[in-house]
Amino acid sequence: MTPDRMISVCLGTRNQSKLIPQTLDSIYSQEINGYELEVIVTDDGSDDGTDAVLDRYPSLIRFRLENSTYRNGVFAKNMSLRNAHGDLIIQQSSDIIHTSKNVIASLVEALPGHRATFATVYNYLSDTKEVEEFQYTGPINHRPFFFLGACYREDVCRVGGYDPLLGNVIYYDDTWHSDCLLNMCRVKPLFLDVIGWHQHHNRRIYDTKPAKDIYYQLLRESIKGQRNYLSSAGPWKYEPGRSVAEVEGSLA
Amino acid sequence: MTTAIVTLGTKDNREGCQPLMDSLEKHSPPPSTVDKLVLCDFDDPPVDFAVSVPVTVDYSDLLLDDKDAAKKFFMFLLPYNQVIYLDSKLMCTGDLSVLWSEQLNQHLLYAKHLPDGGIDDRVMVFNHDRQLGFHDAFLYLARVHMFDGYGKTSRDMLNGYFCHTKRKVGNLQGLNIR
Repeated sequence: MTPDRMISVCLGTRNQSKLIPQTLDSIYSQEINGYELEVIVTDDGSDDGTDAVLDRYPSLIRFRLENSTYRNGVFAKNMSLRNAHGDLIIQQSSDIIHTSKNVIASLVEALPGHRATFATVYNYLSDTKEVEEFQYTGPINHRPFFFLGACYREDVCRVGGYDPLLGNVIYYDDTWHSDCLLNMCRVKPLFLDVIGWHQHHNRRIYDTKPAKDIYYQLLRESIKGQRNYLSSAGPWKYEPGRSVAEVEGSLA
Repeated sequence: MTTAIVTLGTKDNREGCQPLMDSLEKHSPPPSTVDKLVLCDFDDPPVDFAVSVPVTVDYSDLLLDDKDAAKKFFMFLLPYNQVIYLDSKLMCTGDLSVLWSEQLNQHLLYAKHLPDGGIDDRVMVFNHDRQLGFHDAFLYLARVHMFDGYGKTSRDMLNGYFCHTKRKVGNLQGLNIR
């Protein structure tokens, strides 16, 4: 299978042992005729038994980052992205379920001409089996965030993945990543009506200001031409068929 | 506090951008800490009198008579605490320093109130920190047709939002601008 027919599904996770099985089951049930699939999960130091859950998926490519405090998903997502071999990347959260068997195929087949495609994502309340009306992203909420979406690995490498400057603060990592893709790679995102369900879970409320200040500064400097739309650790070296980790080394 | 003055410089709006910025420099030069931005399309050549900012959001699905006018909504995503929008068909004729004086900070949005009860969206002051997700919230309501009854201009859409949410818009009156 050539790299342009290989799809790498890249996830980062932390303490979602109750949610990630549904996510992985829905990924492995996808019908992707003519493509090869690799699924890469980086566990960002979970202590809730995620390891044992992931053991049930022997074909999974797994990494684990050790840390004692919660961080943004930046380092975990980058670890998965840097170890991807496919030219086609599915980026998604570890709590998103694919609701039909053609989600990945639809996202990937719509990539030419757009370079980034996004599924419609709704909140799914597992207790009541209800789906909320509000779209996280989709045709009526055009937010180019990879709750569940596809892009080319070459573009991810060109912007250097997610920015480590936003790795130890919460929020804006995905916003900046999207800004970089949109501006550096001239991506024209396409929002599809293939559906993903976000499994509802309680979240802590974090102070957004530290992340906002960093993000605003990065964006302002880029707008004014004082820096490129680029992760501070980017770009990554891209070679078809070889992961960034193989080309550059394995640091996240 | 970061502040930017922004105008829309796409298609028909492009011609007026430089005269507007020149008139600003002549009659009411903003401090050097205030950035001057022109919203443009990706393929437009950059301007030399301000910073060109490509509009990276697709607004073409909005039910507006002038599809291009919706690109001004990109101002709500700019990474500044305060964004001052000036329509490119306007000219500055006197002191406008009140706009960047940091006095206009009590409301999310300031605009001139019109006799019909709506707002004039040709001059706006947007205080980003008062609602960080405003752009997405506004566009979401627009896309679920919440404002269809208000009309098909960008002004109608903004009026629709502030009527629907019952949020007060600060009044800009008596500005030296025509």
